Amino acid sequence: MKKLSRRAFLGGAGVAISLPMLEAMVPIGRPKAVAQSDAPTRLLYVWVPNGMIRTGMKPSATGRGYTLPRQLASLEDVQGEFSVLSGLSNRPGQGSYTYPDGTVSSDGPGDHARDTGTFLTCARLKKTDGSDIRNGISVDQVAANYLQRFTPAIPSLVLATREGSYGGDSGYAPIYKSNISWANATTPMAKEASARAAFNRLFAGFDPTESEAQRNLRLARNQSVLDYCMDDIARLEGQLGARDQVKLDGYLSGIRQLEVKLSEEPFGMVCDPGTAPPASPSWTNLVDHMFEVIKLAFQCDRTRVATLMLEKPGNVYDFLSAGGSSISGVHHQMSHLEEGTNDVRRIEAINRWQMEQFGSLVRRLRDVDDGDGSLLDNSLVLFGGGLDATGHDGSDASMTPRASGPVHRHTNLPLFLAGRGRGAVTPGRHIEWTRNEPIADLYISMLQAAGVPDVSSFGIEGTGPLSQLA
Amino acid sequence: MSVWKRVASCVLGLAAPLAGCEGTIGDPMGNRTDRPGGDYCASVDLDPGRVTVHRLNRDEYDNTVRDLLFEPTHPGAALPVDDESGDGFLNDADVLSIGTLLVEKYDGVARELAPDAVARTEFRDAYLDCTDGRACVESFVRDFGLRAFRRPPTDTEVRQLADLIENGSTDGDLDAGLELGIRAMLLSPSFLFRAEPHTTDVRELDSYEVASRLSYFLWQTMPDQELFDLAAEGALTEESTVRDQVDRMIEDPRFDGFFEGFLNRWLRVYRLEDYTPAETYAFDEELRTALFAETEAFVRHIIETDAPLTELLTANYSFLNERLADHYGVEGVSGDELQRVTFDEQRGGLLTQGSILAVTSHPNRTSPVQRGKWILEQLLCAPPPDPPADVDALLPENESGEPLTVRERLAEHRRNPECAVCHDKMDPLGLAFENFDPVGMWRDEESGHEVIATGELPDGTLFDGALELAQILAADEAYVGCVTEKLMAYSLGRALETTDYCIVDRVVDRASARGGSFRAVMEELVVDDVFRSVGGREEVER
Repeated sequence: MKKLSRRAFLGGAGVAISLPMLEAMVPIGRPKAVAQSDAPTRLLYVWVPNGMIRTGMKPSATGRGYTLPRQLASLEDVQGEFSVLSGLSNRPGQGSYTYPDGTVSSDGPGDHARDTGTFLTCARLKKTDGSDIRNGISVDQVAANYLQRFTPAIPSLVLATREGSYGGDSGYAPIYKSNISWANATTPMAKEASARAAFNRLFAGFDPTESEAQRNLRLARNQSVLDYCMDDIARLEGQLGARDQVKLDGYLSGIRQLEVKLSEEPFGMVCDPGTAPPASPSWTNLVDHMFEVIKLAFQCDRTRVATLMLEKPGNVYDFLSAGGSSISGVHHQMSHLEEGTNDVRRIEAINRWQMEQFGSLVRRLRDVDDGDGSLLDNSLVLFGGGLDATGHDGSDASMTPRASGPVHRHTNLPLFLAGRGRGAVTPGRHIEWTRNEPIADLYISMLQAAGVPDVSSFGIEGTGPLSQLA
Repeated sequence: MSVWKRVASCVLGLAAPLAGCEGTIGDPMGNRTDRPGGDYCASVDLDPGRVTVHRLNRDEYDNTVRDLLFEPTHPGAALPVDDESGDGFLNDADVLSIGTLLVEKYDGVARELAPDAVARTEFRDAYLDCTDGRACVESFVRDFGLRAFRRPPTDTEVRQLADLIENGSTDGDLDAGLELGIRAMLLSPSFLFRAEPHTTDVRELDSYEVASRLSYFLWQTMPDQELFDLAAEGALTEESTVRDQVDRMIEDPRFDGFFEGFLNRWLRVYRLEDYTPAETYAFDEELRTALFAETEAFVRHIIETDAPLTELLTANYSFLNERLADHYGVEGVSGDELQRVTFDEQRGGLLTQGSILAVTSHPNRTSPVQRGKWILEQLLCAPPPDPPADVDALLPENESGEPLTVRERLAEHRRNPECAVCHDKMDPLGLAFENFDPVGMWRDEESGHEVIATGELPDGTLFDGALELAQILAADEAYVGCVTEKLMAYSLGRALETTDYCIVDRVVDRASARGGSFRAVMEELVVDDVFRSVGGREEVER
């Protein structure tokens, strides 16, 4: 199998030296059996807030060779690398929802919390602002739980361009609106908002001049720290209640994961990650750096699963302009099309910018040789949002944005799927589903394409793989 | 008097009539109905409840390693930002989750902190008075462990840590062993979590536990030497000692942590940090800093002088530097330092401070709806219900093209009866502040029309402008109860449950009996059983 680079990767400082290509130089963590087979499939999920206006984004024809609609004009050179997905839904995110068994749940407003919280979980959020958070495991974590056998040090990357809380929504705790990736029903995955920190987490810490004895000593010292912590947690567990145990479980699994990572530092890894990104890039540069970190993580096989929250709902895109003036408003407020056509133009400008980022990501992955194809060929990249923010009503077949459109729907989601998943998916098309097929079925398809075994359901509504993708 | 009665009888009737609007607007928990009514409080056992094992949040971690290791940098910056509670606080134990990324980060930070600490003179002076031998190592573990764990380490812990340090002292290098021991302690749950062991029955917290509760409430950091000394004597189980400590702690520079952790979050003033008004409004970094500083200095003054809580809303003074005085149109202030200024008219109290006026505005216009909502949520704990699904939650533009004032646009919006049912009651509160633009500058005109800041409350009370409204709010009984609720949720690091509102009530009664000051509420809260004991209530099903 061809490898990516002949340069041995050295770590934090991003120093790299040239080494001869050796057969043995496959990234650590990939068992030989896997290393000798085809390159793996990677999964990436990029979420944008507040949904998108699909007018000007949805092609008029389906299949191949469709005419790119105006909002996707920047993607002309990569049209063959992705498909536009139309008609998928995530109904557990609706205010009123009827479960498959007929149970009705009416939770009222809070579409933004449900947009974010359910995007990758397809579960019903418990409407609470306090102590009884309930969601479901997200698709990326289902994938990570299996694929971590190949990348034990870093089961997945959970990234965001903005750190911290994104605020509450109509009685939903802020934790829902601030996290797309969930380890389980009660605990979101903490998100990394620094490209530099993410880079260092992936690549720092390896010293090629270290002797075997030094390495053993270092590992023994690490182990003594971890052993102490495990003893301490055991002592504490005996004294605390059931709710505390859940917290401590998170800590304990963190310590166990750390143990794996510390013993599997990228000793002998063959991959050149280059230099670490700057500590505080401008925000627009940060987006590029985040894409680069994801690319490197996949390229060097440090992880096979990643999520990125591309902005928060309350961002201000004042570097963009619409109708000749810069966009000073807050994205979320504008997304309700409060000022009618003015806001429609601004949201469309933001959506065009988002699609330009998608194009840049697609090109970045396409241009990496991954042995038996490009890195993009060996990946599946889902890009989009959990809301249809078009502002039309159901009878409005032309999808003309109305002068007022506060309603955010969880059907007809704006979604784009790039890559081939090593042949599982045929890109370059506009695929339309007409019966509100659940996005959960798409996730089942993606999990199956990545080789996760025994996936026959996901979320509330996912019952099997989605048609038409191959 | 029960909380329920307090709300129902609230003198000027702000909260209760709002309950008539669709939803449950008088309910302090919004859509939730866990506020007790009738004789509830007399009929239940008011146990203190349980706090989930409490991970140090980012600021608490930062402050704690500063005080524990004499660490001058802010290593918390390398940790992910914590999630917030529904109340907006960052110290809710249930929301402070922990997983693989965070543990990895804690490990990375500890690796950097430990060698720096061992090399630091203040650190060695504080914890090391010997150079080798088992006794020396054990004495270090006892001294340092007491502060790191905020309680005396057990014999087992001392033994294990001393072994770890001795084994880690490669080739007799004690410092190498100490580094390893510190790393282990900084990564251990006894440091990262504040745990209060559960018992089946309610139990009084021990003095060390009280010391931590006090220090994280008032300082956002670990206890200091005096608190540890008192804890060693078991003195913090005594009410009078706790009261003395509150007085002392309020005077301490570490009390800054209270403003960061509680005040800025309660008032939502932290949002100033990334508030970017439209370019038409005069705003710069100097002003941002001054706005933060004004609110903090003002509230600090209210607390330090034991002024009544009402003064928070009605004071005719504030603290301005030259930049802010210019912004407010106040003359006679020069320099960067804040000075006490007495206002003649236009301004007074928290509600007319630019910080709050800005964070309740849109970048390009004021939002009387947000301002009204802020008053209901933050001052009366009576958040309005959500707008019904699928209504147009927007302000209409004038179809004739002539610009409308925000007041006119809101009036148009209220023509929809579905909106009017609540907004008739909410909007007047926010409209009282229309003389203040989105950055808190005074204005006489808006969109070419003279500002009208008059309004009528649901019970028919008329007012003209922000200052008259502030007087009305200050007199509303819901206000002092609400401040107490916020303080209680923050001090305990958990959301309030139904029986807690009865406890709020008894704290309010005691605080009122001694003048009803902000400080009295804080003090009566920390001497209450709810703060000094734990346990009893059933676990919420997970």
